[in-house]
Amino acid sequence: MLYEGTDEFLAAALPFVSDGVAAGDPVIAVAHTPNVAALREALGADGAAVELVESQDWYHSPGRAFGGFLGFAQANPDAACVRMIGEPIWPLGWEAAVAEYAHYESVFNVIAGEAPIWALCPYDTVALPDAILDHALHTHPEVCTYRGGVAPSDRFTDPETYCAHLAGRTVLPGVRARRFPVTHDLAALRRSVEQEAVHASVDPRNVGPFMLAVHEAAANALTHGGGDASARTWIEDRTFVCEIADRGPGLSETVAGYVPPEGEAHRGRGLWMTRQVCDLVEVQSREGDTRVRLHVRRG
Amino acid sequence: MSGLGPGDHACLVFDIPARRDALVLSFFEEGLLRGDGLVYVDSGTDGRVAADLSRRATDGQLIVIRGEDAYLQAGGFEPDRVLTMWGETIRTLRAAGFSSIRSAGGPPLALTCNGHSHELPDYERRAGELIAGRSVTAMCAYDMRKTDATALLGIVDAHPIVIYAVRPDGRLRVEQESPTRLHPRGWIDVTTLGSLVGPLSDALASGGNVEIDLRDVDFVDLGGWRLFVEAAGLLAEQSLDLTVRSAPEWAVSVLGMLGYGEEEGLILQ
Repeated sequence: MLYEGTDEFLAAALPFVSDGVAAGDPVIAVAHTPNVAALREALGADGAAVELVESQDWYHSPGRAFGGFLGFAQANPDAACVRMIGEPIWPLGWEAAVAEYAHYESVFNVIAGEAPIWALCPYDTVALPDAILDHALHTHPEVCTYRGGVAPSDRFTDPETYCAHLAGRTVLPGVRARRFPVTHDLAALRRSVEQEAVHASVDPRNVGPFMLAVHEAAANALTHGGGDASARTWIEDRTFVCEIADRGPGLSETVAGYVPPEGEAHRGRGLWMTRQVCDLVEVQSREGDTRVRLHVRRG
Repeated sequence: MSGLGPGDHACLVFDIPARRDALVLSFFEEGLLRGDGLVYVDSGTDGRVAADLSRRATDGQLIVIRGEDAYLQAGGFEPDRVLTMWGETIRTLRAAGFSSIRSAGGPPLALTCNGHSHELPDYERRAGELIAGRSVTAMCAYDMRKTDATALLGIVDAHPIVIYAVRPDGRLRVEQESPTRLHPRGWIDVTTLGSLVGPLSDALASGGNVEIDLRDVDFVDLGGWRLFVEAAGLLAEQSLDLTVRSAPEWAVSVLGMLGYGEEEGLILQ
């Protein structure tokens, strides 16, 4: 949904939400603060039936935001339709994170295709740069405006192709990295990476979950990585990064770890957990060269 | 092995193949002396046990089956098919005049550490029911290092008798402060997890609420948390709890992310 200003946001979002309330659909609306305030006021008493959340309280990381929406759908398993509005705080200037949010928008088509989810994703055409609006047109099969018209997006690209495109664009920043061997002495790797994370001023409360993610990625590389795994760490403006690389057959860049584990299956839980606890996870996978980059915020 | 007799369904947990082979040979020695029918499931060995037994057994006394042929007949693990095979094998030896039968060996690596290993505990329960009251003595061997630890806990639980042939692990020392209180020291990850299965199984069998104190553990990986969840599930079946003390603050939220957050019987403190 392309809009310019809160009035246009409201003109498009209010009917979507009100119709959902009238139909008895579970509705969640996550949007920028002025938009949430306008929606709350316009809904009046109906607002009590809608989960209204400001974006800064929801979009802590791509993985957690996406997991939150899936959790909302899973919490309403009997609903004929679950309606969602999701307006991220796009991390302008942090290319890897922008690409990852675009990746999630694309993957959402796969999830929504298998579940009764109806999602409306607002894009502020004044505030957002062209590159992000271009992502929007590639990741949403339909585009609408406040005038109510819905038209197919002629730039929409199937998720597998677009996710591969996004992953392929990722480049290693020009930084000096420290290298560590990944062997069966995983404790030694954990000690080394943890030391680097502390040195990089990662919040001590985040070090434990981050090290769990590092360990699981390294163990996975040892098991499936064709016997040649390695680790690198470096510091970026916002984050401390640990990259685990291996030469195994790789994994799906499209949906790997984006969907929560179900039932008794234990496989796949590691990458799902990793996407939940890290501030950003990048996966690049080509035959014989798979790289998983785990980011955790500094300071 | 002299303690095992007809109707016993034992689990041998080992970490060194040579130690397994020695115990399996000892188990079959008694069968050779008693004139039992013998079934050996050969998985991951150098063939010496099978050769030794073949040389010493009388005609028709020994059946050797490759692990892959026993457990993965159709390319995948189909418990019904495997149990049918066991029933036919027992009938074959009975028809050959062996009223008492000894079976030893275990599933191949391709099954114990793949995505189907969680089916093994239920399979072993059903296998135990199959041999009960049939003059069959079975010893199922599982490599602690090559079996998914969560599955191994369930496998051990499915056997009335468990034999541990495992070396102490300097990376994870587990002190049993009481039958139901474990105090591990070191780290719990994929390289050490098997060392926890034995003491934890003993604690689960003690009939009370179980406590694990992590104050001297500096890391627990996802497999470790899964093991605690599995143990709590087994205790919950008896209306008992597992309390994990000194758990890191983030453990609750991470377990919740994994869908383990509301497991019955698991208390994190």
